[in-house]
Amino acid sequence: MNFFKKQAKQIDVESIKKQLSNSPDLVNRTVTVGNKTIELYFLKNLVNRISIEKNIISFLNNSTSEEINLNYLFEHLPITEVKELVETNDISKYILDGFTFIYLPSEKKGLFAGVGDPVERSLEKAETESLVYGPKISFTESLSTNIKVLRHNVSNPNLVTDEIILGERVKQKVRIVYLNDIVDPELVTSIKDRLNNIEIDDIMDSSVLAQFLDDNPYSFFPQYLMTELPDRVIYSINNGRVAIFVDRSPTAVICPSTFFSFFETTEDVYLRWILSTVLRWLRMIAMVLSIFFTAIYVAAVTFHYEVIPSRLLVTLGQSRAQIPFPPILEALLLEIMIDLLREAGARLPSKVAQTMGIVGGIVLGQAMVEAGLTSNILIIVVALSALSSFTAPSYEMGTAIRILRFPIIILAGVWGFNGIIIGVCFLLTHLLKLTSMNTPYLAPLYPFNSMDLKYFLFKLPKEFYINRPLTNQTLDKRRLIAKKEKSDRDIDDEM
Amino acid sequence: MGIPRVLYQETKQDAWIVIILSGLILSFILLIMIYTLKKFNDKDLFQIHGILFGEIIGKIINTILILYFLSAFYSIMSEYIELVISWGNEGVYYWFPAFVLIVLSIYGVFGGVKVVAGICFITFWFTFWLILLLPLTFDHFIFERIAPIFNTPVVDIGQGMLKTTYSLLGFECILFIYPFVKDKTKVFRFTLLGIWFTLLLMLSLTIVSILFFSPNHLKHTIWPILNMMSIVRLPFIERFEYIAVSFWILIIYSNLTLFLWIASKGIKRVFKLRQKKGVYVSGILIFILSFVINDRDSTEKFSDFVNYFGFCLWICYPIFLFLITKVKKV
Repeated sequence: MNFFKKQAKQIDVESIKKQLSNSPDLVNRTVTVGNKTIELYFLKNLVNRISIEKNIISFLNNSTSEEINLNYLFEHLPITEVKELVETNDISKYILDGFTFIYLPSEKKGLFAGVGDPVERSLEKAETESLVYGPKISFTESLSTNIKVLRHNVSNPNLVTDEIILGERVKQKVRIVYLNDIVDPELVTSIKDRLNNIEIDDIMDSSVLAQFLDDNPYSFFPQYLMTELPDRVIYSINNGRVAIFVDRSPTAVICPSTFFSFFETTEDVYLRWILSTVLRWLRMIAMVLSIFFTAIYVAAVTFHYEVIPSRLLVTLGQSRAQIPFPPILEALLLEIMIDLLREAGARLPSKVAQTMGIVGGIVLGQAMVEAGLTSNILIIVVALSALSSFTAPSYEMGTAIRILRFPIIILAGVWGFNGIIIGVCFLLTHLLKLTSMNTPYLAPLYPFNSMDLKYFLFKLPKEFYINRPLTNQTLDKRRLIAKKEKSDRDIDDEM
Repeated sequence: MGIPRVLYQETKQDAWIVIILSGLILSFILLIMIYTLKKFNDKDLFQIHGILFGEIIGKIINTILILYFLSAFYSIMSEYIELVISWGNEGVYYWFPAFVLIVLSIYGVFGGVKVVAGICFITFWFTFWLILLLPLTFDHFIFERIAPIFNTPVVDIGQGMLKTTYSLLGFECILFIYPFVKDKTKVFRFTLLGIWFTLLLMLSLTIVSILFFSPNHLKHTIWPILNMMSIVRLPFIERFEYIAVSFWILIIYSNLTLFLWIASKGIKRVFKLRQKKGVYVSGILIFILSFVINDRDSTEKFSDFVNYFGFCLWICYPIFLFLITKVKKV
């Protein structure tokens, strides 16, 4: 008998070692209680040692040898997460997840005890998306923390978090989060289908996942909203959308996202409706300005002097008198400079970045004007359009807009206002062609839906929000907002 | 854009009567069209021809239709290029705007019927605001110019109606879009609305031009609406018509994509080519045409021909089609 036991044990150790590619971190600890030996296998970097010492080893030492069997451990081990061994191949998978494998040679059976100590940082303030109002907390790199944050905020049994494992070489947990009673079930199945069809070694980040889900991979518009704000995710799933979380990534992917949802922030919900409508429109106008302002300058100065009012024309002529370049070159030069500044600012440590902003922005700009390379007015134009592009609440959309500016400027330099309009036509057609998880990108503008405009283009007082956005095709169309009773109170009547 | 002048040449200050009359005729034609379409549910005109006249004759008629839409495409495009070359882009080669517009339309058509419809819808809102500028010309109106009314001979009114109807063409597209419309009961209502909206637009533009220009001036102004717009002066924009000229691209863009889409659909039906290939072939044909017909005289002759062609096809032919369906009892 003894012989057999030993053989079984040895095979086990070898197979575990083999499965874990002979990792030097693998600890094989044997605990002897009376005449029974119990073996523990774990990776020492992944587990919480105190938990093993207190909850497993000292627990075993305090039990008698007759008590110890698989059932007993299953029922009495003071550890929250205990799992049964089903397949031998599972051993490595669970050990890699931070479980400890407790093996009973006498029964040739074992179980897993969750004593993992995941690497994570504490919950911090959001950095890429900043809000003035509202909750500041942001997601972290740990999937379980993110789900925890979400569950804390939405105590609703209908909140579903389906798990899918993706990646061939690096197994990655992906969670699909939605509200069961609101979301369109077809949307969920199509998302799951697409996720299951992804073949990749390693999904680095949720943004990579989003690119795999893209309907139109050749477009430079982001097709899914990426956010690190829990309240934004909650707002979206409340409106019948789906959020996708990836382990190791602090950003959630919200799908489907329409063009206009990139210009709304949750702050719009928190602020009074007039303010948020004005702010949302300000952002839209900023987008238009950012794309077209420099191009209009180039077109007007190159081709259409007639359009500029005569007084402005004099100022413009004076400031451009010394400049040796054609307007398009001048504009491209300055635009590229601004983008260089921005890119350098993003790469540098934040302390240096400030200094560089001053050097680059003020000194270089001033010097360029004095050296007669660019005109003052163009500096204003370019700075304004750069500033406008930063108002987009989504970083990806802001970047897309900034890049979009260059082809439009070139078109304007080639064929004036007509060129710009040609650019507009291309842009419009492109946006019309785009879809995000089969939802038209330009919804609710096209297909036109007047009821949904209040969600995407402006905000109205709360009485108008009786239905959820129709574009999302939610199961439960009505929101639970009590209809305001019509009061027939006249002027000066008491309440 | 040039309609007020054309009408004025025929019917003087009574042009507005003509417009209303032709609106009535068009509504009647539309009624007949929709009636015929309802007989064959979910079929477009290309397929209807196949059913009515058999394979071979149907194909011949469909080829004529395709040629019509391609030439209508070219005539719209060439009229715009004419305009753009005279306003602010003197010296641009004729083929350059043609090339750009063709590429643009091909890109649009590739999105399929949904994108084409979207282009029509969105460009409408992008250009709609241009009308709001017209009241700014109010200061220059002389109201006596509209009087005396009803002093045009009937023959001239007939001539004028001929010209109006074919500048109102475009509603015939419903013959091809019909299978894609979800709610068939509302088709007539909305197409009618579309026709009368265009009509109203034309009416107001014509009346405004009559009030604005002196008779001789209007007769010799090729693009009266554009000339009117140069009066519009905003604090930050002078010479507004340059902006209007570029915005005009959006208006013709929706027409171009729609016509190209119909033509390529026809090519698919007749020659059994893939629609993508049909679009390329049509694009190349039109581009080659832009080297042949590219001066003021020939483009004008060409668009006169297209207009006449369109008048026969879409005003007279639907009645014929209607009678045939009646006789054949489909």
